[in-house]
Amino acid sequence: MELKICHLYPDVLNLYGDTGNVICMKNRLQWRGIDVSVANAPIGETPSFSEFDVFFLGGGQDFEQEVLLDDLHMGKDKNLISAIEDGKTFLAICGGYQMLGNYYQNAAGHRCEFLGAIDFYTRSAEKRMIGNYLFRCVPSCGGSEVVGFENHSGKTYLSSGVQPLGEVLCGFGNNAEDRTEGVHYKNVFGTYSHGPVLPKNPELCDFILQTALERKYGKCELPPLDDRAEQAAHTVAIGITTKGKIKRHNARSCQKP
Amino acid sequence: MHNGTSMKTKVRVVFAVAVCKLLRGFLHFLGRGGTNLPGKFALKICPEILSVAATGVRTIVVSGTNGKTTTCRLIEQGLNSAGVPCFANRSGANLLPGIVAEFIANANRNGMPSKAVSVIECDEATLKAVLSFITPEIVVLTNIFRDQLDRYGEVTHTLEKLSSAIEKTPNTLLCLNADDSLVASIAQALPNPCVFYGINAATESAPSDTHSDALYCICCKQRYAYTHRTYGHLGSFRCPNCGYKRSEPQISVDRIIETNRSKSIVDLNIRGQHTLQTIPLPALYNIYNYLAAISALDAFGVPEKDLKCVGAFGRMEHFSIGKGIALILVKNPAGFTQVIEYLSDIKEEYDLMCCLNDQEVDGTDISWIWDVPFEKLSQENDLKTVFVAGTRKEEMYLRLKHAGLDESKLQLVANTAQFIRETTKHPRPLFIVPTYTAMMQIRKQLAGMDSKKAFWE
Repeated sequence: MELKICHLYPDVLNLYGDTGNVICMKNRLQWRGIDVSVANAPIGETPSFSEFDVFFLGGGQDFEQEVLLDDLHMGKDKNLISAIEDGKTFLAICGGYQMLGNYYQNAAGHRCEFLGAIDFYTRSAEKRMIGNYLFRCVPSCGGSEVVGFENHSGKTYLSSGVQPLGEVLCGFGNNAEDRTEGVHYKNVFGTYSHGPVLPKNPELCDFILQTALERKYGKCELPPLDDRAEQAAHTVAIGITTKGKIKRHNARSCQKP
Repeated sequence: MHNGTSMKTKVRVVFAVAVCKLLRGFLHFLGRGGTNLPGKFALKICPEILSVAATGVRTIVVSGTNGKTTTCRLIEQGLNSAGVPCFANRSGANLLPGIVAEFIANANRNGMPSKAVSVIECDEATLKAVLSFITPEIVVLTNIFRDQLDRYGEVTHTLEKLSSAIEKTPNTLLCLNADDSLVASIAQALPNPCVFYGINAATESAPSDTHSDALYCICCKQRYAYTHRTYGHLGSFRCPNCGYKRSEPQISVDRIIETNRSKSIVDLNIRGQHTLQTIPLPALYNIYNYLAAISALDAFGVPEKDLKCVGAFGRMEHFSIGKGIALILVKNPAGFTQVIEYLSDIKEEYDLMCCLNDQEVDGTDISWIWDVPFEKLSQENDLKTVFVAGTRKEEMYLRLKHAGLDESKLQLVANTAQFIRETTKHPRPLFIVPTYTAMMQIRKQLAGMDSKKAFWE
């Protein structure tokens, strides 16, 4: 078996350690003897979308967003949308996640048109949402608890019928209002979680990898790995997240997992 | 000013100075260093105390993401060897209260300064507050890298903060890193007189785009072209679209002749005058710190023959314990990447200790460790054991596992204090790489064990 991963815009969407997700996916496949290759698709380069099984979009700086949108609108947007509709696996973080939606609206009401691949939108909030946070994946995404770090000033609202990735247990999530976190559409997983999210949440990582393997090879079981280091990092991060969270970040009430 | 008010101000100044000095003395007596507390009290009593205590002091302020402390120490040493007495906020207390406390400590009881020159390290987000009270003669900017995104935000926000701070002092001379397209852009935006420093040579391991914090032109968002690069986004940049480009530095290193564990030998070029200089600090980033210091000293009027900095100290510190311990502070990917470059040059067996804390000043967001190329360490045969400590040691351990380091080489340290106590018997040279709060703890302990060091030196 083999998976081909395409890292989209590693030159611009390279902030907040999100590349760790690519490292993690690659390792967890290799550790199981599954072949994997990673190709970078920076600005100005158009990868052959049909060739890849997994696409990764990280978070980036606001400053470069315009450069990126120009590049997307030169044709890549259509390729991306058809890859999504085709059931290809996507992991999109923070700014990369927002970009899959319809638009971003700033404080002055100005709208920046995004991909419109999934029916949701984002608007700027007055206060930046920063801190460790915890959510539980919806059952159709494996139901595992995921701990990460969020740092965003946009509030994302999913249209009715669009499924979130999880329910916020502690922290802000999509908009600090409806307790939803991220989005799940076909094999697209969008989340605000940096951290990076996958290394210390191996269950989510395996769930995402499995969607790509099953699309390509049919039903398959991933053999378990020695995840003691992963679990230790997971547990410690949850401890830090649930402790003092309410006081420090003035977040919504925090349910102990 | 009405006489009554002026009298009131005077009383407040005297009271603020007295409280600050007493509290600071008391904290030192308790064995606690120059913390923020005395300055906080002084500011409460008299918010404008800094402008009084800094009256007439010739001040050099150093700000930027990496290298502030080392640059300050180099400037201080240069001033000392030129016979210019000065004071500095040495303990790294670089927020407003710490700076206030330092000025008060060097003022008489009426708040008037007792020394004529100061070298002040200033946090990027604090520069605005500091420059609203004092007008420095020189501001040195080292670089802008992504740093503690939860605290500072993105690099363009940091640039904006620095720029809007310096706007208040249009006559201050700026010493700018010519190789940093972000820092150098301040020269275009502001009327201040500027001096540029930089490295006129490419380095052996040219950086990749993914390690750049500024690939696109700050003016027009086109991609920069480089004729040479040193590390991160630093180098000889040029925007093919709008023409924004690196300014020719007046003070530069034209060639790096040799660099090893303890020093670099370089060809220093001061406005066309070449000399061979030994920089008593290792690693490329310290060449930038050295250049920053030399340009500040030169601008300050230190004669050319005295333009040298001696002695090793600062953020890479050596202790004569066991087989030798080096302590290197890290705060962000750019800094840690440089440390790894440095370690890969070591030609003997050694151990490494990574201490990752996630307190407010370290940055509660630790994701940046995933942007550090630890993969390189997995190729290092001389690296025997990596000890992993700190409040987020489990995450650091996981990062190293994913970087391909054999887990038999990795060791979690549950009790850092005990581990440090036992370093007297450590069988190999040990490099300790902590984040800020971990460094404060470890440094204090190591200084107590090494009779040659005093903590609040």
